[in-house]
Amino acid sequence: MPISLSKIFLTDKTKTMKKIIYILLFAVTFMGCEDYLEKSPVTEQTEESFYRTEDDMFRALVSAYEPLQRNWGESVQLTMDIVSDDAYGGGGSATDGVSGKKADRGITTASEGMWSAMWNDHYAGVYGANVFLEKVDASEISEELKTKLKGEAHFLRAYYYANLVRVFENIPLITKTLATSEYSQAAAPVADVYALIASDLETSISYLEGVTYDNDQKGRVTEWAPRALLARMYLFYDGVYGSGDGSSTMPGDITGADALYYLNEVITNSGADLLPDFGNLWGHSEFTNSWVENSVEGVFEVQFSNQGEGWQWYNAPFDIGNKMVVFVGPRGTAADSEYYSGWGFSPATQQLYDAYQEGDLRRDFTLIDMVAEMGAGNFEEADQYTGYLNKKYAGLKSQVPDVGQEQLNFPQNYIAIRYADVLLMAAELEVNLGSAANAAVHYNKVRARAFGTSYSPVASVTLAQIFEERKLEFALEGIRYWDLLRQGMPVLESAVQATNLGGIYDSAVNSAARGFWPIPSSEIALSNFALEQNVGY
Amino acid sequence: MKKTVLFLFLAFLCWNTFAQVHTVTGVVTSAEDGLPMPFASVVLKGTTIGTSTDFDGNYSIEAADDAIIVFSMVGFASQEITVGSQTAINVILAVDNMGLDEVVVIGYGVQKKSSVTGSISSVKAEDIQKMPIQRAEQALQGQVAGVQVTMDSGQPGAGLSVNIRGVGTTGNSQPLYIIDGNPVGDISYLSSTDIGSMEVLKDASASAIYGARGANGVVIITTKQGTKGGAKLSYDGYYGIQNASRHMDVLNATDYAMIINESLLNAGKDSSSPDWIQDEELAGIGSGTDWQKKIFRNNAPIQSHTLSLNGGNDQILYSTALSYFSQDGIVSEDKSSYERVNFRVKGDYTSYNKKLKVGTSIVYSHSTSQGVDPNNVYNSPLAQAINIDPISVVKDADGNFGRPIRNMQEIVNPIAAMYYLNDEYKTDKIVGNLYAEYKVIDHVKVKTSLGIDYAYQWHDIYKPIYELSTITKNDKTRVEKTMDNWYSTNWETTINYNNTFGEHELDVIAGTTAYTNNYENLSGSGSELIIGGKEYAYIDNVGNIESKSAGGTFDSNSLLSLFGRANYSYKDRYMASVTVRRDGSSRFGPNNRYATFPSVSTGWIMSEEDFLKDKLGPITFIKIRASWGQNGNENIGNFRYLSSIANNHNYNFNAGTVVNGSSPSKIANPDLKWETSEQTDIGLDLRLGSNFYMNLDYYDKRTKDLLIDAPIPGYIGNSAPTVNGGTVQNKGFEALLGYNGHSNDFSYGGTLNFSANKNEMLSINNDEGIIYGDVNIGPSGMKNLTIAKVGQPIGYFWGWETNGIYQNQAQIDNNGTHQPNAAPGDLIYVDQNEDGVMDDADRINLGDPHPDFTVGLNLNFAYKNFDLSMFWYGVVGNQIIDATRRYDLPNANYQTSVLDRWTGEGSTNKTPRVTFDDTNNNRGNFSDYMVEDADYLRLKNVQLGYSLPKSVLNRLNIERFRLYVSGDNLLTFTKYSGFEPEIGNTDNVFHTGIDQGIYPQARVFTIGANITF
Repeated sequence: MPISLSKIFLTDKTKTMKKIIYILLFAVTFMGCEDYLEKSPVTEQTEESFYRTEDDMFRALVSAYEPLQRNWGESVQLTMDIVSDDAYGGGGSATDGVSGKKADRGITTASEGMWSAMWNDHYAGVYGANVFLEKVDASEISEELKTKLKGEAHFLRAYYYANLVRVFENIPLITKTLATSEYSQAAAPVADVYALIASDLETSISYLEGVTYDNDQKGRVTEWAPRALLARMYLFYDGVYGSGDGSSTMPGDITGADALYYLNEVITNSGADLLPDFGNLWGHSEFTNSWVENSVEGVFEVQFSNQGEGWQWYNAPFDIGNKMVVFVGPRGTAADSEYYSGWGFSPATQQLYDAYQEGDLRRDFTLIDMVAEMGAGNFEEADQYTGYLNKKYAGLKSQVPDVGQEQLNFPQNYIAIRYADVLLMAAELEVNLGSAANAAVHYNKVRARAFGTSYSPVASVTLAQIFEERKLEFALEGIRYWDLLRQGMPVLESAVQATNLGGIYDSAVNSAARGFWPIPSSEIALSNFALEQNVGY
Repeated sequence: MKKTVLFLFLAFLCWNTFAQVHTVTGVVTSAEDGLPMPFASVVLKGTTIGTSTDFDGNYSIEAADDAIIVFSMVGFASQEITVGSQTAINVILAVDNMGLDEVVVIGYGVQKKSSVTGSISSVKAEDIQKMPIQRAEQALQGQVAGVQVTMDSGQPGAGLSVNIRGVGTTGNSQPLYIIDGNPVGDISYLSSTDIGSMEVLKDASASAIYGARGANGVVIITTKQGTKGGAKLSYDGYYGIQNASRHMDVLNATDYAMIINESLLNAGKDSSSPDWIQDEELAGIGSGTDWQKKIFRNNAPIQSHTLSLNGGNDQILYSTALSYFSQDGIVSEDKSSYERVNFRVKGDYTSYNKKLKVGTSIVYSHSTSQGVDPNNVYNSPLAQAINIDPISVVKDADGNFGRPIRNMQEIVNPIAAMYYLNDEYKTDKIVGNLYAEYKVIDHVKVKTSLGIDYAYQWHDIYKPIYELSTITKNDKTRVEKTMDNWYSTNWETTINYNNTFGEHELDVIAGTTAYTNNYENLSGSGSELIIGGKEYAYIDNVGNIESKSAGGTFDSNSLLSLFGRANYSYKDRYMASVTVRRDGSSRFGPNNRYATFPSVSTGWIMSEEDFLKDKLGPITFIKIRASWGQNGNENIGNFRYLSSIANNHNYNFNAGTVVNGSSPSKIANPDLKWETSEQTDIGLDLRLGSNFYMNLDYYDKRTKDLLIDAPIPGYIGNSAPTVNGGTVQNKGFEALLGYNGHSNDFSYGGTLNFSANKNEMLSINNDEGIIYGDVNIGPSGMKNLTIAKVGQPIGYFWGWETNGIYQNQAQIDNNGTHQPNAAPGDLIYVDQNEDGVMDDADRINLGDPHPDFTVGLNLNFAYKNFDLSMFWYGVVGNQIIDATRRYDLPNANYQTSVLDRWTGEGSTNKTPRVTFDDTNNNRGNFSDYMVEDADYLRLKNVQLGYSLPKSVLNRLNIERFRLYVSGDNLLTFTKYSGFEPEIGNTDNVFHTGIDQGIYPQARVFTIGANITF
């Protein structure tokens, strides 16, 4: 355009005019330099350029694993122990970890930050799996690899939903990345969530068939983990929504017999077994040299490492260390103590200590009997001091890393599903559906390890015995609360009430809530009130 | 747009006129002393043809019969005289107190103050030099109506938050700074003595020429220019001492023990508790350690020295200066300080034919600073000093650093913490520009200018081995080095047309700019130095090779713009101005990369109207102004429209090594567009008699399409996208009143400026209607202290209302179920929605950090050779959150106000009981118990000067010799109980007004001198 204009206006003052026009032309041309405004990040890829190669897709899958490690104070494991009859809140003072204590006292509110942390972290995992599953088909990787990786992603999504539905019950079911117009989501029918969990796990079982990993890669999902998780979810569903005797059908068409079938496959074919020594599962000094992670007993372990270099507190969610470890360790330990000085959360109840019979080797691997083990005066008493702390996950000085912020950087894995659990779940289903003899075999196997050579096997076993055995075997592993809940609210209430000693050792169940926890209040508002608050809050 | 400019420009070319020309000569004298006035400007109106008077005030100029000669001189009222047939015109210029004929700098040009139709405030070099200020932004505090300046802290080198007409964004609300035409990121590199003038463009019409960057207002700084005449060498300097002016009253050892033991008793514990403070611990320590006394330094020095040389003639003007400034902090002996050397050179050349002008302005500065955390309840030394128990000691009998007697987590011995602190910044910065202006033909000038802003910063950290507590320790020496580098270029070309047609005057400018900013960073660190010690803290000295790590990144953004402005006036009384700017920014995606920002303004000098002139009584000048316009804000960080892949979703498998996981960093929003601020301004400028003047402005400014990361539901699974999702309104009123008078040897004057602003969020378009400020204090409990919510001001304090103290159990039982754990002596919380539980729904507005009014009062007196000035500054209607106590540590010390705690029925209704087992969480829930009014009135500066009389100066052959004494912050009236009622935050509006143990401003006494040879 400027050129034609210049033709029209160029008259006698040509020379001067030319100068001006050149300048303007120059300016105009300059404006046309679109490239000048084209910038792109140089140290980060974008969504468009990523999700192509094998490496890309592996990293995308890893991002779905990552939220498993988000176990800062408000983790499911720690919280569920505190609200069960295994432990109180603890911590540095009455004002430390208030959210957990309020939950323990049955007075939690929907605006407590721990519920939204748990909610958000689990949905971050769901998002990672959804993104992976959406992008994988268009990537350049082999079909065989696609199938394997998808098998892992389906398991992970089911794992996150399994926690979400057991903690919050009425939750939105997100199976793809959402567009802005879809941000307002109501809770899905509970049956739909269980159906998705069932279908994800069955898909995972079939996609992962025969998949094994090198030693370095252990900790990734195998075909056995979804089988065990499916049985765990069946039992919870059957207890809370069904008859509790293995006769109900979980949405997704999973019967008690299916669950037992899957467990038996693990028992028969997986090669999994109990470790000979219970103490080897935990990083205790007595067994430091033989402490085994990702062992034959670990059906699914959330991995942790002390090799992460993150050393900023604010980056804690992305660190690969086990953050819960410092929470449960004893406070102010002496210089010569094997225990790393922790924060004294989740002090165990006297009832738990007393539940172990004479000769049960598990007691002294499960609980730190503080005075007996450390000596009076060699530690600080935490709030709600009971004299007992979680020994399974208390940090040891020998585990302290060379790198990173040491308090956040403990390497101990969280064994989410143990083979002992597979055995006891199978025993439970055998009592209801199968052979009492098989039930006793499984039960004896677990119990024999706990009592060593002094154990005399039983010929038959009751459900009550199995639940008691579960309490002793899985104490402070984040399992007990749901075991109580699936036996019914009266069982949960009386168990928790038994630990209510009054004063600061106050424990109670909010009966109206049916054992479930509040939907974070901000989620309700942000869903434009499509979500509704759970009953009891 | 481009076509129009060209067209207008070409059209005006044909309007040249010719007339008879003859020589006019005369002498210009000053009305003040009757002496001839050298260097006065003598210019033909509407042209750039002109000259200046010689040493004896004489001039000679060729002028046509119909020409009008304008005689002007800074500080004097200019005069216009029509030549006609006169060949000798003698002029007496009167001192101008009103400044209406002064020239003010506007974007890409200058304008006569009386013709300005936008809202622009100026601060002159004389006013800046009067105060011994540390940073250039301080010169705006209390001097300019509508500009609120708040110091981030009193630490040397600390930033200042400058908000022009309120906080107009939830993002960066700081104005755009233009130095000699160059946009710069911050102005800390300037010495106050470098500044020739500062102009604040407040309304949309004034700042619209800066388009996408003008929404927060614009501050234009012109560095000092050379003046015609012989070279002048000046020295300006001061030396001062600084001291803390306030201490916080905290418990002494005896009272501390009493309160701690009482709080144990109230929690059901007794003297067997390890926390119990036994009598023998108090034996022989008197009132214990006064930690504040230990960390504050007495008589910390501050000094500034500037040597400058100015001069020039018709061809060349030059100005150069060397400045040194250093300030030690009032906290710590040697770990909080700032030092700067800067060198400035400015030169302007005008060719013989006056057609070509070439010039340059370059400032180089080198600064070093080190500091403590100035406002942080976890680790600032002040927070530690007020939280640590008074029983523990600075050093024990063996000369080792003492530790808190009981576990206090991050609270450690602050003296020891500072002793081991080695954290230093070294910054080199060059800001410069080079321009050439050419008069192509009469009335048309083309100018091109290239500017750079280059900054290079080292951040050095050295950590020795220490152990201050079980958790605050370091067992390996460590070095960390970070190098940041910013490099920006700004190239602009303008074409200007200026002409007069009879009584019409037109000034048109059009131009383009291209701006790019690059940032690059490199960092390295390592542990276990082979030779320990700060002086050996270099990466090559790292002993543990495996601990070495490195990082680095690069970032770049650019802006391309096209703009135009036309200023028109008729008969010098009707004025109008139109501005349009079109910007393209790399910060936005292709869908919304460009935006256009228009503005219009108009003014009418009523007092020039013949039909009004005689009816105005004492009013000698009256102008009304009105403007409307739009600006943008693009200062939002780069690439927020797209979702990059974040590689920090790490996991590990059995090998234990980190496996990188990658996930979109957030949800992308390719439609992201600019924040647009739309502002209407109505103003009135008035003069009464010859001594009194005032400027009044009313404005209504709405920033819409706010760029926010509005929370989205957690079940989406990723961070919220940045969206255009909100509107904030600032409306307010500003007034500047001035008075100048003199009688014989006594002159006096003053200005009073007053600003009122109301900030309100009009909309936030997420389902919740809330943006969380993400300000959390303590490990749990106190979350989101500040938020933005529709109908409330940005960053207001969001918490529970209290209603006194429960006096007995019956009162608790009768007050509903919402406080199940309350005991007598606990705070009564108000269950706003009466649903029986206390939660977020019960949080209300407990105050906000933005004042309703600010007032600045400047008074000047001079008698013969003495001068006295005073500057008062006050703010009204803002609040502060007193978050100075670690509520989660029951052992932490308290302010003495705790002595008035509840101790039994009827004892008090204000301060809750003390208890280790704070089941009601009195001190851990965010409630109005923590909020205090922070109104204050402060005597910011008072100064007394004496200048040697002319007779003495003449004998000494010195032009000027003035000595002064000055005091800063001598008086502060406030009800706020903390160190300092002024708590800004340059980086994040949501952190404003939160006291976590703020580093206070010092009280300063200085002596200084201004000498010109």
